[in-house]
Amino acid sequence: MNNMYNYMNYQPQEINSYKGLVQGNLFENLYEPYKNYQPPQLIPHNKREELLLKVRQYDFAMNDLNLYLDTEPTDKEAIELFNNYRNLAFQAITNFEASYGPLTVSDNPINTNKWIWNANPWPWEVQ
Amino acid sequence: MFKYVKTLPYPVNIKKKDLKMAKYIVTQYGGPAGELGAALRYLNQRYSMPDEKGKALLTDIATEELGHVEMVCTMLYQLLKGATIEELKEAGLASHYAEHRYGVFPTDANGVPFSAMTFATTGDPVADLCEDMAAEEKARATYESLIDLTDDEDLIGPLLFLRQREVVHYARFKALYDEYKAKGYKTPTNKN
Repeated sequence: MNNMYNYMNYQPQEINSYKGLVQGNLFENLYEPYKNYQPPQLIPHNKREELLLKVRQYDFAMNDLNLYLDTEPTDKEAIELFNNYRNLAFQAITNFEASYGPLTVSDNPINTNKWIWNANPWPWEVQ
Repeated sequence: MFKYVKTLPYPVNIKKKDLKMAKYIVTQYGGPAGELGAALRYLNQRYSMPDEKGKALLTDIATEELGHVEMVCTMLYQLLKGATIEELKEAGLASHYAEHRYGVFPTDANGVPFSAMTFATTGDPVADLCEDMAAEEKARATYESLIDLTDDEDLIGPLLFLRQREVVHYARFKALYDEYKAKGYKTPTNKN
């Protein structure tokens, strides 16, 4: 058994979705830094960024648990964690969309007089 | 099927602009260790996986990689945007301008267009997962090379993130590879 990647033994109480997003890894025991580089903090500069950050960190946590669960589908703790983050992500998405419009085209529109799915900014533009 | 979520998974906001990096970062779009190849590799291999774990893991990692394609393209787009002809020439990007102006296009760092020859589907689950582990390590190494080439913090942040995702993907592929190898999995046949 390869002990370098101790993927069976994550500690649930250490899981922090913001930190996970910042370092690109929800699992502390899998985290591998590069030289002396510190991943930068993600500081929101306005309300939109603040709400989007929440969406991103909960979605990130869901995704990392998703990948873990794909190969360990009977891990009940991980399933519960995933469900918690799913709920948090749903709330964060609802909050974001209430002010800034839909993130997926089928989500609730905030304005039915105009098709706002088209609206800028698109993700590749400096936000 | 695929639906689109109108956000990047991790922010890319490039202000300082180390423009010459556009020539090198493009390798993670259309190059041999790039995100596009990764997404297509896993999307292809998932069909011949022998059980639910392989089908799910390859589908889900492929989906994540498509979001990474978007991040790399965003870095390219933002680096190029607003650059003058003089700046492009100085950064060695005049040939990019000639063929694509301020647009993006999948090539490697030498301008060789993306090729499906950079990935394989052998249909043997153990061989395929072995390739996937190698692919993730190559991508990790390439992100390290790119980080080595720049001081631009706006680029280093996303590059570190993308590098770390390769570390995680490697771990997941390795877990499944070990399991499949132990089970002696072969390609599913019509008899299964």
